[in-house]
Amino acid sequence: MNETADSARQQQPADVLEEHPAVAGATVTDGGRHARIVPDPAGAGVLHRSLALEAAGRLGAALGWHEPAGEVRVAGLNRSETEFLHREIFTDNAYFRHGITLPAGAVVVDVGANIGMFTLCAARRSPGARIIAVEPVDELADAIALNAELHEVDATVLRTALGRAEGEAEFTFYPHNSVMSGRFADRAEDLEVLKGYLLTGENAQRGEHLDRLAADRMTARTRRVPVTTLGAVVRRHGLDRIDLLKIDVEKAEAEVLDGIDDDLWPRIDRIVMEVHDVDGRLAAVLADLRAHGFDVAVEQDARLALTPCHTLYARRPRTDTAPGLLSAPAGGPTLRRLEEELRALVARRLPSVPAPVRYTLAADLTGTGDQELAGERGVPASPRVAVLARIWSELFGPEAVRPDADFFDLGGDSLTAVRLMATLESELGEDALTPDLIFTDSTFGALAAAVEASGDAERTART
Amino acid sequence: MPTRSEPVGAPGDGTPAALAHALLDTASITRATEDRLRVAPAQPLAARSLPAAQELLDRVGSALGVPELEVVGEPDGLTAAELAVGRRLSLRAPGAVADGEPERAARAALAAFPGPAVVVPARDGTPLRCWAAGPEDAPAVAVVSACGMPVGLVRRWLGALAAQYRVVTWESRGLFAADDGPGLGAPADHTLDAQSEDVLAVLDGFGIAEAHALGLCGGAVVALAAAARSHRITSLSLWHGDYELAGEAPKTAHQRDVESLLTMVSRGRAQAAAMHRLMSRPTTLETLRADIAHYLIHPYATPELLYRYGLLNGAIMSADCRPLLDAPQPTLVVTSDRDTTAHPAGSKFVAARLPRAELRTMPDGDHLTAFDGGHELTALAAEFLHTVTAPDRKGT
Repeated sequence: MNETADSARQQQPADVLEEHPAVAGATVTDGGRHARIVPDPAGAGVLHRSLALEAAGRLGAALGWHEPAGEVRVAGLNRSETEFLHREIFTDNAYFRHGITLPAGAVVVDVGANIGMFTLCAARRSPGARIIAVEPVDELADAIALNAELHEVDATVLRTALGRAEGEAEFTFYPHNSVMSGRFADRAEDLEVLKGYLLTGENAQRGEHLDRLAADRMTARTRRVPVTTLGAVVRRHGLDRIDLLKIDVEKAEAEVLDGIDDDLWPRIDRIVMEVHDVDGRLAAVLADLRAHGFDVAVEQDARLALTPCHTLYARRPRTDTAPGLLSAPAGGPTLRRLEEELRALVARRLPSVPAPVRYTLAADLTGTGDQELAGERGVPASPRVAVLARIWSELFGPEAVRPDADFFDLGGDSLTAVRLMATLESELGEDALTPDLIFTDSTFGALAAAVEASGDAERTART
Repeated sequence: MPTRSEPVGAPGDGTPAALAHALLDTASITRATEDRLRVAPAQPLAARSLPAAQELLDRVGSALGVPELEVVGEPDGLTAAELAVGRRLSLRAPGAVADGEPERAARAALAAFPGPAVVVPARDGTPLRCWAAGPEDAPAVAVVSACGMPVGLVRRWLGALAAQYRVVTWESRGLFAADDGPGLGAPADHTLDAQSEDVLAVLDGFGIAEAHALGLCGGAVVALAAAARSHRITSLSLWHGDYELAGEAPKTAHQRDVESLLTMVSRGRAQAAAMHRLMSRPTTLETLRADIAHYLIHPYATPELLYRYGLLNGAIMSADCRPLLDAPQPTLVVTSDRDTTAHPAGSKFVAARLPRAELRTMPDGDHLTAFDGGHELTALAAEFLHTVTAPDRKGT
């Protein structure tokens, strides 16, 4: 291919990409394969802000960008948990059921906010909502603050646990399974709950994998966290009412309720909470809520059928139950949606020119170097390697993403290899990695080089 | 049957009798392998004992007509399949061997239940290795095992059913070499249609007009497909079935992994060979239950087997079972909430959709236990068979 043709092949699509309202600027390099996109602050507010937040170092070492189902861009600890939370909260709409709705400008207290997925959902359902997100795990609280800023949500993040009295408590954080972290964590008991979940539904894992996977997910860190009461939070933040109290605190739910003062109870309109039904707790909480004048419905998610987890939906009889609408996400497209739209745009406008296959975000069009991947400690980064790194991290944990980490030493077996290759294949196409390579050199560094090289081979074959 | 005068041999006791049974039990692998397989002793042997072990193995193997094996001192460098065969053989330094004992042991092993295969041609001419047992005039039961599994895996089911029923079974088309033939033969039609036709071809081969089909794991899908195509299948029992239901029921990660694997290896022999190399690592064996590992590993034992297995089992695992769920035959569907291989939700969905199905969710059972044919399961089968095999339905 001569230089002029190459330049035409790159300039034309770049011009077309810039027609998209979410694109402020674009360059196409790498023989027309790679598009660098500067998101437009108005047309792609979330992407634009995510670049700025990342540049400010707000992702830290623990967080990464995830786009569950391609629908929303959020900072999360690990992709599978982010996807779980998104599915539970947005796709399955686990909270707004049984007459639970939100008025505009609602006051919402999100107890056990994790990365703030419910906070985002509540904001979408109640324009002008004020949200108090309570999360004692610092890494998660960082994510909530980041996600609230990213999506321009009015959220106050409180880095504390809630209980029946103020003080301090021991708190177990499961970094690979943050949704089960809590003050009353019991590794053996939680392991059974996790296994119950892993055995059910979409995420079902097979036997011999299950134990290893579950054990890995239950790697625990214990820390001391401050504890306050819901009554104190309401007083401190001058809340005159709570339209919706959401509680998901892994076995500390009764304690949270105990921290509600008598004069606060009548000012709470709705409660949605997960209850771990151990020692008759479900019946006790039900009785408590009904005694406080709530109509209560109980439901158990099919995926949690093998666990003691139930969800309670409590509301005052007077509350409006007309289903509210989930407003369309503001802030423009996710990167995945934008990619799809840009591919379609190029295909429509330049039918004879292949659309770029890789799309990366850039704050401006100066400089050409690819970004180093966060947390990879020296592995050369590229979009293909980033895909491998993500899958590797999902299989073995983020700390295993380093050049000398060996697939088999990490416990990989032939079926793990199949999963690695199948996932790679679905994202990078067939032959992104052949099984021989895992057999001959099984370190992450070697496989990353192979995945990169298979991209070159594919490129050569196409040109 | 073994003669009374010869020792029967317990597995791994090093006697010619034990060796003969073990050699037959692993013959599906050795017959399908072009190169001579290497086997290592159970415990390291003194170098001087190796020739004696080799000699006894050769004599018993020759009397059985199974391929020769090479005894090596150490297990280092052996493939997962070789290790599986070696563990089943459990070679030791031979003790005193009586005159003619290896040959008598071989004859006894060949005659032992379920006996030698009877070859029945499939509708398309593919030879099927079949076994039949039990009274010829009793109601018939066709045991449809999981794709690619040697007959040994369902031996206990056959034994339990043969007391009251005419029981037949066969090994998957194109995945097993003949006793005396040159390897696997030509690749066979791998469609689910062809595989479900095999049920009927086997009934024809033994002169059976109609039968209950007892399907295990992927065999449940084949049995269901046979029932949907023919009234000669008068009733069904589906044990821990592995069903593709187009997302109507969740699957386990294992099911999805195996599907990915089958898709990859069925693309071509080169892909299968590459994957075979990976799966030949000894660690593969660690994921297989030790007492039946030599059966479970059969379809992974050579690149060609893996390729064909990808096509055959891929056809089973990817076939949408929903159109088959109007089969009118009375059906027993069995699963367990502890099955982490084939998701119990698939069985529950199938039982709910089939017009005349009864679901039994066992408190225990991790999938492989379905093949064990333990008392609880065979009693459940007997109870159901009793209700569906009226006297006038007895075989021809």
